[in-house]
Amino acid sequence: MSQQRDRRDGPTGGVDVQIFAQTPEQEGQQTSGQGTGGAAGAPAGAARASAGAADDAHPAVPEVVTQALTENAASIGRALQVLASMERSGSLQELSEILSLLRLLKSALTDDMVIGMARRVEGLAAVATDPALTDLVTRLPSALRAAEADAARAATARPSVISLVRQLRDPKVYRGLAFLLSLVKHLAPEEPKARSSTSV
Amino acid sequence: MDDVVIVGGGVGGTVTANLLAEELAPEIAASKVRIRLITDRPEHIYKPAFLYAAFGRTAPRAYRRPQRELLHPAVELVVDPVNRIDAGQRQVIGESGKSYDYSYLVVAAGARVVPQRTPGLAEAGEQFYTEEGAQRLYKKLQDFTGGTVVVSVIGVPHMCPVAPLEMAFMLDAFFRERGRRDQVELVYTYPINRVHSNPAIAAWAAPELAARGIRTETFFNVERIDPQRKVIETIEGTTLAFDLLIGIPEHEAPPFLEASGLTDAGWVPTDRHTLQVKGHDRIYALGDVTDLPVSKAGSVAHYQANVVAQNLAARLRGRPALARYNGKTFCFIETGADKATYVEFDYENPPQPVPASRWIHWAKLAYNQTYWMTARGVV
Repeated sequence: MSQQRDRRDGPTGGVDVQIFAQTPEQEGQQTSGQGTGGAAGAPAGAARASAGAADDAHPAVPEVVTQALTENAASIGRALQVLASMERSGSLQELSEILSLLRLLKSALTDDMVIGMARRVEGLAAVATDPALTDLVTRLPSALRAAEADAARAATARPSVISLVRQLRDPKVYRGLAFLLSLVKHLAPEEPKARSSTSV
Repeated sequence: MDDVVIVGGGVGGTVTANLLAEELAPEIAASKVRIRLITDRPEHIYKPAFLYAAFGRTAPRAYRRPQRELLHPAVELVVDPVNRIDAGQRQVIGESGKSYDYSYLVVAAGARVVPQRTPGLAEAGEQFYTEEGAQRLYKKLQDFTGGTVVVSVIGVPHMCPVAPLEMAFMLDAFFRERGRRDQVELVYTYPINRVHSNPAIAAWAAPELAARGIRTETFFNVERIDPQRKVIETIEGTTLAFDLLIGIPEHEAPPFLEASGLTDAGWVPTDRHTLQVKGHDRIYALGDVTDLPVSKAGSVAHYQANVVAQNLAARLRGRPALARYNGKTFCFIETGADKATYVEFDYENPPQPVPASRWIHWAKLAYNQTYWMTARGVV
């Protein structure tokens, strides 16, 4: 109920200003901005006179533009044709909207986030390009194909303990098993308790 | 060993815990630092999805994940609703009776709605700020055939300050898509003399509401609701009849914070740059619980988590804490009909909404799906 009283007390509803940051100076800027909008509605002659004064103050600007138009007339003409075509088809609008996504990304991200993502990309890239991994990945397709072929040949034969023991004598099987057992050993977390712990 | 205790399993608490665990991996491995996250539920919920759930555009499985899956393996998860914080003894006491010592504490416990503070609202009003509320509103909207729908901002500040506008825009699109717009009068009310507390957003939103034929009522401070007559009565002495009321209730910080003496006027007094709780050097606050003049939005908690994690890591290593929060806020704004815009602003720079587009709407939908990477601290 005290918060209801707050709303009564405040000149603009009291607590509303809590939601967003806005300094009194910014409020002032916005108010003056509206005033500027009002000035934009002044008679056209006044606006032209104002523009003319600006041209006098910076005579080089239109000259540069005129020179650029003259020197690149053909290119600019073709570019305008493309632009007009894109505008008619709606592509220009789509392009503008897609470009606004870049601004969105820039707005949403911070230095810390970019650094964090770059660090993770680097970490993943380091793993992906590790020679041990690339060597294993390179050997995997041929190993898979050979295993599928072996499995197809053996599909009708019933596995027995003797056949398993016989396969263990194969040096390649022995090395493969040794590799897998060692891999399992090294994949084990060093501190089992570290992963723990949903306690209640 | 230094104990960092983080209270709250929302975006702010989760990101802080993950960033700290990653940064302090050597100290954690050497048992010099322990990070505990204490939360009241084993699941993490992505609350912005409730807006979509109200329109049947998302399912619970899309906005729920086990909290454990989102946390760095080195973070200890404790599911134990907090009963109180003893700042003198540097302890968090759970409802289980267990106490958790801390060297540094991060309060990221969020805000909750309290519709019961407005007479008649709980009985007669709908809302979409809780999962239950969004599901109930979804059913109401499916059955609604015509009449007056009022979106009324009753309590400020509230979570996600642009969500009521989004609700109004999406309702307009919802009824248009079903060919029922002419049978529905949409009304949007706000307590002050414009349609949003932020002048720039209000200036953008007012013509958007008008263009959709959504009537606005400002200086509209709800005093009570008569559930029988279906009428809103205001402090200003006006009344407004409704067939469906979507009322944004008053919000509050979790009650254990007030019981622990850590609130002032309902929220945790927090330094706007360092995010330390005023008068408590070893306690930080972020997200919805603070009294800062920024949005109670997930993006704010996320940006603040970066600051708190950096400063805590520095202090734990005996270095100066230099990171400062600048008020950065980022919010998507769904404008209905599968379009959206966004705003970005901080303490010094006001927002400037860009024209709404489907691309930005898609970016929002994509973000909803990839939010879990944010919670993990990947983005």
